Amino acid sequence: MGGFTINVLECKSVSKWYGDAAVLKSVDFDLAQNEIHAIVGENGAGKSTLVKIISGLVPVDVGTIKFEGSDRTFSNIREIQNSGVALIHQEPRLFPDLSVLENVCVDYQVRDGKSKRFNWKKAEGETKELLAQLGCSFSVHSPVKALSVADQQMVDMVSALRKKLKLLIVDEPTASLTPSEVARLFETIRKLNASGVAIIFIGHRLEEVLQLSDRITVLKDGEVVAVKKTSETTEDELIRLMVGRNISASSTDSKTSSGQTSLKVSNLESPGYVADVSFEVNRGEILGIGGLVGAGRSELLETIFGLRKRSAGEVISTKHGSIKKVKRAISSGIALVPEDRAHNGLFLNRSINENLVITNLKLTSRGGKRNFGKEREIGQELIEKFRVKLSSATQLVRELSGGNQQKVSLAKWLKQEIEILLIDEPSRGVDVGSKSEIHQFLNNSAKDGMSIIMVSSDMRELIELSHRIIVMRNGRIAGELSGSEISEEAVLRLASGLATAGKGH
Amino acid sequence: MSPLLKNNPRFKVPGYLVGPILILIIAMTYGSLGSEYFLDPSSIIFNTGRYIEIGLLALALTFVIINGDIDLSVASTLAASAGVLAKLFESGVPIFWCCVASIFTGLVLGLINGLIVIKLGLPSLVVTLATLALYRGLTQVILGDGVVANYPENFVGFDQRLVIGGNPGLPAPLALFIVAAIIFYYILHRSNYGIKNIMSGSNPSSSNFSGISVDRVRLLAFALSGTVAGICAVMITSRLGSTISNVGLGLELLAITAVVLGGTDIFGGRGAISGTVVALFAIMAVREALVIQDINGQVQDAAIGLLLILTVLVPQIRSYYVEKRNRRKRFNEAQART
Repeated sequence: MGGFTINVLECKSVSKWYGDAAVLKSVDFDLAQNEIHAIVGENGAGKSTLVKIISGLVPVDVGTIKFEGSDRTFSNIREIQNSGVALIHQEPRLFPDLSVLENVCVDYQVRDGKSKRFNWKKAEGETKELLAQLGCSFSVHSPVKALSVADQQMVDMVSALRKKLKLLIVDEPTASLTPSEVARLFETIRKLNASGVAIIFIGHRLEEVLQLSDRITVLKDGEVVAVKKTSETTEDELIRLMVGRNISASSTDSKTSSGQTSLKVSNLESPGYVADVSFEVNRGEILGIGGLVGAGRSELLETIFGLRKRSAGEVISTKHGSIKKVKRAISSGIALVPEDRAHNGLFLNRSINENLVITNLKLTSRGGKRNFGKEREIGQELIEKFRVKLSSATQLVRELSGGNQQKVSLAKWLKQEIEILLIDEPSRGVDVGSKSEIHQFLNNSAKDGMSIIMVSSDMRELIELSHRIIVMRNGRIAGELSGSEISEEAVLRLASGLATAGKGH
Repeated sequence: MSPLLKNNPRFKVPGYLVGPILILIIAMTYGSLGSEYFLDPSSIIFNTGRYIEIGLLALALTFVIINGDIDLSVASTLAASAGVLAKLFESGVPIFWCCVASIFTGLVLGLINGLIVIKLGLPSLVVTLATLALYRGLTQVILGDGVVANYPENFVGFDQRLVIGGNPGLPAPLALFIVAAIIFYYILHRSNYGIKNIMSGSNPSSSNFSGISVDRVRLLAFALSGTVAGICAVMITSRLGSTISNVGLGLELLAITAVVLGGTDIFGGRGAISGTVVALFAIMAVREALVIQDINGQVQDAAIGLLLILTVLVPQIRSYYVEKRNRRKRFNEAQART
């Protein structure tokens, strides 16, 4: 695809802050008219923020964005919609109960010349034609929720095509698609590109990126680390660039575990999320679980904890036997600190003390009667142990910072003897100070004999803390890494399906 | 709020009580302008009799509503229980066993509500709207157009009996209500069930993640609501001395009004027995004051409706402005940074 003559899009030193955190640091990015330009990077590298800024959904703080030679500034949503740039999200943003046709027409009006009436017939004809062009065979009248995710993305695409499209941005579209659906999507993207639509493609699976794109920009921690022609780069180089540092298994020597198995998971299956997962955890071991978003990691923890229906398999605690239900899990010394603490971990509108007491009612009450003195005592003890910063224990959890909320979410389990801690994204939305405190806690607890199963998308966290890492992909274990095998590269390879197995599975 | 209440921490009145207390005071002042006997203790106490069933239903409903559910069928459950009582009595069953059967009927109907809501995952608003009609219909099938009366002497006139004699004495219904309020207070605010109830309503998902059986907590609340309706069926039969199929018609609205007016969040997760109790007396005062001022029944209903909207609306408006101010503050801080 020879020389890129005209640049449709030019971003110059674009920066963006969320609060105090810089998400994009002086990013330059350009795009030629006949080009498919991919953006790759780890979670949190700033990919999504960049395309949101380009599409106009998020205002830029510093820097300029020129689209077809003129500045991209908008005063309202309609200008954004009519600007010729469309963003297709990972999860299609549609109205599930409306039909395909209605979804397509939501922001596009077809009128009969003078008459003010909406011309459904004309709209239907146009939509059918576009769907046919994309090779879709579903009916325009079927409700969107009845379609597969791939077909929903096509609907999204058709809505974009209804307008005069000049730039199409596709944000991680393949995460939940089957290979044949991916092939169809790519074909569509290529066709569009050939017809003169510039494409920005964000992808996690590097093989797909390499297959589709003309040029690749690598983002890392909000900065552009490289812009490569696809024909001149390799997977290995990209992974190195994305990772950018070589911290493979930093302090492995201090990572020892007793070798006594404390929990055994065999052939665990939860329909649609977890398939045939088996592993063991030892006392004093931190077992990391890596993988891409949607690989079934959180669901695995929830299935072990007894929150999800399981269709096969067993979870056996060495001390307490088979575990099926949440209550049994808790009484066997298993705790789960979920990823989404606001929804699943905490009671934001209740006090800190109530949040801490709710898992310790057995200790604070007698015969079902609460003892407020004891509740305060235990609450105080946990607050001090975790150095939760608060003005009073009756303060609402909602008012705490992310880090302190995470401490409460963790602390509520730790009055009882916890043998196995399941922790999901321990430092998401947590400030640096609290993060290191939480890490310290995890390390110390493991030293004291606790088994920890930790899901993390933060590569550095995963690698520095874990004694052993299991990488999941599509609900299955893609491979296991231990000792010197552990590196960001190895995890990424397994997670994105580039390598098939480490060992064991 | 008066400065005394505001500044002295010892007299700190919880926010949810301010509205009902104000209504109570205003209604009592207004009533006393209509008749000098309005504030007479014995007349007040005598008047409570007709509100006790509403009060008991409201106490039980507090638990259901804190869970984020609703039970619209309480008055119909009451009617069906009363129907069972009447029918059994007619066929010669001793009155004691009729009462037991009535309470048991309430329990079963409450459990049916709860099981449909929980096992089928349907919204309680719809389910209990359906059983509101269903249970009332059943009552009509049981009783037809007839009236069952001639209950034994020692059964009727429960509300006329005094637990403590004298003037003003303590009539049995009020005594029962006080005891019930204390028991329910302990269950909600001092027992494990109570905190599970509140937490389940506050965030069902976090509750499940914390090992609370949310479904069981909810089912128990429905069972409680049904059982109390069964007890109220016995009380109302004793008070009226007869049973017809439209007994207790519309009581559910007054009971729910009392709960919501008392500060229980209709979306669940927050509520207090004290609120329900004060709100009940506030509703009572408003109705009685309007009666004494010779204002007709429809206006009484309208007044209660209006008060409910105001009480629920005022805190909403307030929090809207607080939120707006905070947003502006955050925006200004962000501006100052750049």
